[in-house]
Amino acid sequence: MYGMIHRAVRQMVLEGVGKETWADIEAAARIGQSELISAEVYDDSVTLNLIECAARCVGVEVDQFMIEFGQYWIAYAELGSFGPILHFTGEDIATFLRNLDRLHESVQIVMPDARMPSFKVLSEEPGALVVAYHSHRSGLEPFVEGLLMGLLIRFNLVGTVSPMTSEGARATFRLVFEPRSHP
Amino acid sequence: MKIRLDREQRDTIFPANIVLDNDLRVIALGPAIRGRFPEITQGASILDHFRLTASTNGTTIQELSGTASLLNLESHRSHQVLSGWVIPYQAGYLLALRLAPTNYSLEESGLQITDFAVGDPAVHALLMFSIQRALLKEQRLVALELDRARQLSQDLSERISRSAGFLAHDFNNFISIIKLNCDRLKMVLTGQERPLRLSGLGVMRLKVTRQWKWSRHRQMQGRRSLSWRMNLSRLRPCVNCSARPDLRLLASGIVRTRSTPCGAVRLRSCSPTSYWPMKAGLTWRAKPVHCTHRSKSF
Repeated sequence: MYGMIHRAVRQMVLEGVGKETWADIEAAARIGQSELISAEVYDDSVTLNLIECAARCVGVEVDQFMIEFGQYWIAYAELGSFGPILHFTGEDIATFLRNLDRLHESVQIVMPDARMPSFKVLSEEPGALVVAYHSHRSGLEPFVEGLLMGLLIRFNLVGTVSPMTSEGARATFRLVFEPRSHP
Repeated sequence: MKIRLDREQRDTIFPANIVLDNDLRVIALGPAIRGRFPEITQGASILDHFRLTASTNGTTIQELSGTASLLNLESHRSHQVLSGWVIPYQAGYLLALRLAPTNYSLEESGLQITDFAVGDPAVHALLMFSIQRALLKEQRLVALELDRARQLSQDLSERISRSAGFLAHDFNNFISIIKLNCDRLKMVLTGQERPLRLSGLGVMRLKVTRQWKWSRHRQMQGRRSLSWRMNLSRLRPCVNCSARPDLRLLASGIVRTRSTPCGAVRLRSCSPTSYWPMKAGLTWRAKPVHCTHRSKSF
């Protein structure tokens, strides 16, 4: 995976628990500055090992950590250099998810080593969506669940994301949401 | 050839379409136009909102109708450019347009993916430019971070080497004191010599060496040439210099010494840029007052 994922993990840990924990994670995962280069491709095992070590040091289950990381990734991407791209991709969650594959196609051209997942909106009702996810990698479903939760927050919605089916690297999720009410 | 399009098809194929009547008044707008130009209402003249900026085969929309010539419209309000073709449509014209990105910065243009038709290559171009730009920004951040880390590590190794130098010198001094005392003890025990009154010389020497190092360090910080003076008159009762009647001070290659008439010794750096603690050790050689037949090195 690309180094920007590692950087996001680091940022999440630094913001959430502090420098000391990140130093422990670096030592446990045996990584340093050279594994934190955004546009560098690292073996998936490096990334998964980092996530496992981070979950252990933070004291949560790996799946839980991945859900939280997925959620964090959306906020991280939006506030960072990729913010305008996210904004371009859609003004509401359904449009965003429908156009995500188009965004990924462009990313694939610029970053040829990236292996991008695919998202399809299977059904859309007011306040509910069913989304199909397909990837070359398996085991990242909790991360995707977190991503979808992050998108709900991004589009100022409150709701739930429930995994419906999961088979290998394919999964479907049901999103139920409503606009966040402002006091 | 006549083309029949219902509103939904028209809006899907050309999200930025404008349907005009014969007098160039707006009948309908595509979703991208409605979103980006909310001030345009039905019945308004298209020329009140846009300026025809370029064409190859005519100067009016009517003249461009049905030709393969490109129509360019520039908004009076936002300088947003729309380009496309004029198609005869019902009793008027269909302007099949697309938003032409005037620059490839998504931040500045405020464009949305839904402003473009499905499969429009402009979307890919915009995304690719934006991703490249974002990656460059990221790389710049990474480069800064790496630079900072390298600087920190450099500072750290410099400090370690400086501390190691201090330790080595201090250790050397302590060893010298021990050796001196052993020699004294040996002389006393073998009855060869009377005990030398050198107590305090080792401590003095340590102090002198430290002061020398500190002066050298300050010189390095300010890149000033070193002029350092230490009054060694306190040593005179204990030692005798082989060259002068009071004291001889020898130093390694990057300093030179000069005794002054008042009994002080001046050290001057031979090379102002040379870096301590490479070879800035001072070697002292003194001859005891009561022992004139040989000199002692310590």
